[in-house]
Amino acid sequence: MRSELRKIDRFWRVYKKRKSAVAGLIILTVLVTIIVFAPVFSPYDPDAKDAIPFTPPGSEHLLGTNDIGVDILSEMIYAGRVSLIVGITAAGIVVFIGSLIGLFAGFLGGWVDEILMRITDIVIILPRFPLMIVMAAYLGPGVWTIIFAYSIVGWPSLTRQIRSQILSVKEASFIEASRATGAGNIRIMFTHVLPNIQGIIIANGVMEIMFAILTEAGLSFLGLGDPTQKSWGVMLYFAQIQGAFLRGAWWWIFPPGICIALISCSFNYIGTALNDLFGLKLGK
Amino acid sequence: MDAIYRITDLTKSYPLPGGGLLKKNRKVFRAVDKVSLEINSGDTFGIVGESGSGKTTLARLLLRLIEPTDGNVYYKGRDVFRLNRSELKKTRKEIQMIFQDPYSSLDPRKSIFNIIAEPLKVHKTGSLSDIHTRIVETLELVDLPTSDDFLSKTPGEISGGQRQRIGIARALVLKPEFVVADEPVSMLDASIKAGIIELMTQLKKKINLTYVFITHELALAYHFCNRIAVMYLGEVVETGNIDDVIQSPAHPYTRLLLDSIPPTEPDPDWLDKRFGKSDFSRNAEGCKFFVRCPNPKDSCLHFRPSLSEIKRGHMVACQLG
Repeated sequence: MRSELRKIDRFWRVYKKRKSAVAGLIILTVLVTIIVFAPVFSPYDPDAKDAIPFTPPGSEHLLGTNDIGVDILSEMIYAGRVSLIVGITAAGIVVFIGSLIGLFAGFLGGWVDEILMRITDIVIILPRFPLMIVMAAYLGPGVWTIIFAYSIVGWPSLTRQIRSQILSVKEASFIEASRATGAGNIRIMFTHVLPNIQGIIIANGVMEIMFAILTEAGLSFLGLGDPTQKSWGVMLYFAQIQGAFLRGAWWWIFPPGICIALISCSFNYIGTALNDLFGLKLGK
Repeated sequence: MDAIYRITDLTKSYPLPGGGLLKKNRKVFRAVDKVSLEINSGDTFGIVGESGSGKTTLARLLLRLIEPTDGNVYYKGRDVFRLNRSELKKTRKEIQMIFQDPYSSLDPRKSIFNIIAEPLKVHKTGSLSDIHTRIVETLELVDLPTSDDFLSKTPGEISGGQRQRIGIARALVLKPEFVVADEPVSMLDASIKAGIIELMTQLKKKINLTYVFITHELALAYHFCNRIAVMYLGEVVETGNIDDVIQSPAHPYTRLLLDSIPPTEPDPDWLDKRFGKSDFSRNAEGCKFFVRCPNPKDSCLHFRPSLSEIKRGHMVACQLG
């Protein structure tokens, strides 16, 4: 345990030198804190429709109200939960699929690699966004539809990265040493190969959360999200169809937009930093 | 004495780049070329040769870490390459390997305990406390600390010499009968090197081990081994008892290697400079050593000598004798 703490300490010392990475971490911490403790931070019930519609920001409603008299700030804080959960879940599934396929393809090689990588090639050339729209249209709007659609098309680029990392790790002589003790492929893959690329997987996982949140926002904005579970994307969708743009209700459009941008930026900064840091370590 | 390992016509070749679109005329590089050897129980068998002579490839073939192109390896009378998965696993319990690079041969993410425990876990040899006892025993055997603090360290936190001792401990923890040491000291400093060699000598006395000791230093082999095979471009050019080979070398290459011992700071390319570059692709016909041989005959260009006995147990592949 002590060596784990030492490792974290060493890691933090390198990490904190990167201003963008620290900024990303701060933004993310603030946003996640607000989102997780939504009842504490939101001034009103996000479902209460008792305010005057289209009230501009003021002392009573910091970010104004929407067309049915819901407080935007409260709605936005709760919508963050949906965005974040969808993003993390979809990214988790993508990382799981991508890592496994990359692991088997890269480590086993031969015809397994050949088959898995050809499938990857096919999925990677599919036009992602139109395909997700079609899938979402057939499966009906909803949170799980978006997660499913994203999982189906989101894994190939991660798979390729993981595979290329594995190709270099599997040449290390500790892999051969393990084989010489009598260990089989599965054991070697999960006890030696995977732990040695976990940094790359974590870094890519963080980036995947960003892509997933952006994709969710995009699909929801097009009306493929769940109208009863409002995410930031769904908020924008309603703003659009209820005429926020025509009425110049900027307070309904900017806040969720800025939230999407902020959270994406923070995941991006953190992910980039992790990728660099773990990448350096692997070279050693 | 009975042969624990019998190797017959063992060949491992790798395709070279080129050879046209359909690879019809593709040349191959024979890393190990028709090697036949016998290793007896209790031997410390040295395999000596310069880089690229196929020593490591031969070692990996012995443990079936790679598959051969041709030939057989019999371990206790059974063909290693015909074993099925569970038989192979059982056999691997008896055959272990010490690796050259003490840095990359230990998983950087595992603790010392987990590294040495792995062979025991793979072969399911008892409970966690049994494993702990075995690890402590083995660490004592290789003169390493046995404290919990040391066991929880990762390879990055210990020295190169200690790392190599961990590598030896990992090889010995299953109490193998046969250990292949692939240049175990070539990447260590001279002072640490002596310690490791001393340790390996002691281990041989303490436990009844059969060693295959791979090295590029003839002097080291002389110090450590009782039998030796000299390899050149994948072929065994001379083999026999260490005293026979060192004191009356019959192959010109062995003589060359012996001549190269004195300089303390050898130029790594001295062979190339003095005798011309080895031609790795030359495997058509004739003696492979021809280009470098100090006194070749015309017939050497066409005739590939095979190992023949010049004295009991001392064999050489050179028609000049």
